[in-house]
Amino acid sequence: MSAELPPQIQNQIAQIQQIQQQAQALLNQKGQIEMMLRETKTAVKEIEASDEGAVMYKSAGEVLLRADRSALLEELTDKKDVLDLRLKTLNKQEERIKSRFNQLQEQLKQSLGQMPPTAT
Amino acid sequence: MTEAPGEEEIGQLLQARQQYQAEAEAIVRQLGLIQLSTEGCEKALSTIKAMESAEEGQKMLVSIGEGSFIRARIESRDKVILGVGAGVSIEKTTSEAEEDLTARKAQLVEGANKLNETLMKIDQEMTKVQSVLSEYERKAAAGSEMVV
Repeated sequence: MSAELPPQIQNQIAQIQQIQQQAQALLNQKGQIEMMLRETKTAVKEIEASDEGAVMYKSAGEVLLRADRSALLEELTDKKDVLDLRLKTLNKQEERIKSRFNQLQEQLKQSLGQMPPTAT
Repeated sequence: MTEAPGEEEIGQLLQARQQYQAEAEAIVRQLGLIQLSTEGCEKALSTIKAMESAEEGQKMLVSIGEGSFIRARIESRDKVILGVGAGVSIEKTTSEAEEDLTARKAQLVEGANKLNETLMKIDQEMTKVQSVLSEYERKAAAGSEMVV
């Protein structure tokens, strides 16, 4: 069917498909960051709720290494801040992609509206 | 409504059906993961229970995967190292660990129940869309038979 469409419309459809792929990749990335952020926040809460002298470990590959509570808390708080920032950046990108998608969709609608009716 | 479906309407229905299918598949995948985590909690809880009747210094075998084990001894039976996410594990008393794991399991079960409810709603919506599409298909087939 796309062979019957003018090159300009075919190009617009290709652009929309590309944007959709970008949006999907972005959503996957955002999902991963959100999950990591949730996990980090939970771990921070757990450490904060533990006693000062609580014994804790950090995973390193297949083993758990003894870790210092305050150092671990600092490390995870920093990680949380970095993830928060990455999420904000991804949200901005998502907004840009959404607006570009709407723009392309509108252009495509207009182009399709201007096409001469096909003979039946 | 089922009188004369336009191409656009049928397209929208097909798209809705596809969307519902994708959502249902994603939920089923999530339910599978929740099931695995719930089983993990149950396994940990039953191990903690079994440790209560063990003695310190008691010989044991620790699984290293593929049905293989290494020899070990219980150093402490009143402490459990509990993973809290983000690669962090905290040493807790067995009762604290039991409490945490039971709460985790309850959360997982609640989450699974909510997802099952959503899945049922999606299923109902899919059935509605499918019945409308089948009706259109039936009418289209009847129309083409009349032409012949």
